[in-house]
Amino acid sequence: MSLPNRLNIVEQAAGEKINSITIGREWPKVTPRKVIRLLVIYALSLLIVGTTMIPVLWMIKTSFETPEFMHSLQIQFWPIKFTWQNYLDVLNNPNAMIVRSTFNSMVVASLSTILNLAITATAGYALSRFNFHGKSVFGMYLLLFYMIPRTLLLIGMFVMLARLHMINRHIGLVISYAALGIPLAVWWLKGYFDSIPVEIEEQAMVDGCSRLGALWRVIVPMALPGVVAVGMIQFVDFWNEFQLALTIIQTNTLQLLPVRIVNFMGFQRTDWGQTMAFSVLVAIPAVILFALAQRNMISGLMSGFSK
Amino acid sequence: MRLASLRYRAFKNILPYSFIFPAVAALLFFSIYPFLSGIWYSFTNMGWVGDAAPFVGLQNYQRLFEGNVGVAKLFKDAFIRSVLWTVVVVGGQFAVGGGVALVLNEKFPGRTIVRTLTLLPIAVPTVILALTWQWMYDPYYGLINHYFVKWGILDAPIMWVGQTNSTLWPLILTGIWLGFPFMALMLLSGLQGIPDELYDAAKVDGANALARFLYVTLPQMRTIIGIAVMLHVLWWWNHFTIIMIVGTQGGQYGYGSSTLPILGWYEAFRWSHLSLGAAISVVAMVGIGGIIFWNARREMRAI
Repeated sequence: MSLPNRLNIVEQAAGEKINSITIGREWPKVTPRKVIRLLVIYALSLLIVGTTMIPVLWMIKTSFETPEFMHSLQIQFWPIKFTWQNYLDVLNNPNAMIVRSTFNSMVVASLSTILNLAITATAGYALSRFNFHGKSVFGMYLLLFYMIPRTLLLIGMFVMLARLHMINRHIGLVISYAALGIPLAVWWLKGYFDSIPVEIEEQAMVDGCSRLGALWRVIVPMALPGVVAVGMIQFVDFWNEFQLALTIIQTNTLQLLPVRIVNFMGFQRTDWGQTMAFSVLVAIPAVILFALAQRNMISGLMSGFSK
Repeated sequence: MRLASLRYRAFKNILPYSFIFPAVAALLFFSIYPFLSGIWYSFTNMGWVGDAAPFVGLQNYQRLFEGNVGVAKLFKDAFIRSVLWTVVVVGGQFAVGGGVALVLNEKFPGRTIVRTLTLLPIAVPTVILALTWQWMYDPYYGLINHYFVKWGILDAPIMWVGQTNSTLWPLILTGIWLGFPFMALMLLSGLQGIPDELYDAAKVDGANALARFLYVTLPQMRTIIGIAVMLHVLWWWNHFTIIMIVGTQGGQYGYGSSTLPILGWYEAFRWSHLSLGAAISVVAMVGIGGIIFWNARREMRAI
């Protein structure tokens, strides 16, 4: 591009700036170009949202469909005849054991999350603030962890838990979840502690706090929202986990929701209305928690990677 | 005074280790030990917990790699399926997720709601989405057959999944659908980290939209793309839930469309060959580890 041409553009840009300053706040000018751009973006957005939401809508629709219409060849995205019947049925269905398995899932996911956070919070802080021998080894293991196939870990874990008499008991699952969640939790927490300026801590120490005092009085309150967010994500992960829950728990009454619902679908071979109602009930808590925590999640994840 | 400072130094040296001690201990006992013992079991002929497990060397691996019958055949098929599954699923996720990230990175009214609805499936339990897809693939009343027949793509409804001769393709479609929002989320966070000044400068230099994408966006995104693709390759190589639920219908139809993690799990926990399952998993790990390290070294050399 020739120099005069380039200068021209700079001038034009400067001119626009001056114009907008002198005229003050004004609505952006509507040009055909801008309209087309917006139309293209909205068309693409519709396509994207359609792609992600159709299965979800289909699940919700099916859960509200009257059973007689489930097997009709008339297919549409709103119920042919709206009903709560599937929800009532699944709640009363002895095969679903919905109350029992919800209780199981709640207990296992909460205990695993608490145990996991108790172990990882200090480690995340140490990785963020201290230099020590073996730090890189520790960080490296967190990455290598993802290369280990779950099935391999599960085989070793299963034998170990069997020797400890923890197969088919919730405690076995709690320990496995808490341990397997360590790498990701430490990763996120490190990223979160990195985002708290170290100067705040130094200032507290200048003001007469000890190192631990500064940690307790300043960092713990500041880090609490991050720790809670990581806890929520971990809870959702444990709530949704399938492979370990399927392998370690065998008794029906002890099963967690994800395994219960798959078995239920097996029992009720053709009753998709009840299965989808069950699905919606299982998804709701996870979606709510995730929505609350997701703001912190991605920034924490990425800052963990970039440092 | 001197004593106090000595004590302080010792305290300072011990402090970091006492902070990471619980995590390290838990990892040693409940992650590294099971991992190493799993590798060890692959060199024994342990059938189930409590069996005598004598060392048999490479016998399990021989069974996997020698001949073309029995478990060797299943292993070979599963290995090929695993490669196909990982390459197509992650490739598809990257293509779709990248496009989605570019759209979501634009500024337009209503962006937040589009973003939220795109990312929503990340929160829904995988098991439930897998069940929903299974219902959509239903041979008689499923959504997909219905529309394919209506639009004339198919003459008659077909059995998409869960048969002994079912292919992996319906599962691959589900895998791409399930994973692309997270891929988009990671790429989007990278896009938002690119300073506006770079685009402004390129604009001043007369670069059009395509040139800005090729010479500003792509080079800036290099690292993030590398990390995102590598993580997704690891995750989806080891993916279990979709194939287990949609492909084998909760474990009823066996090997029909199984990949390495599924085959390993079946051998270990359904057919009580823990050592053989461990051997399959070790091969899967070595395969993916080799690719990751080769790639990491190449990246290093490129820099």
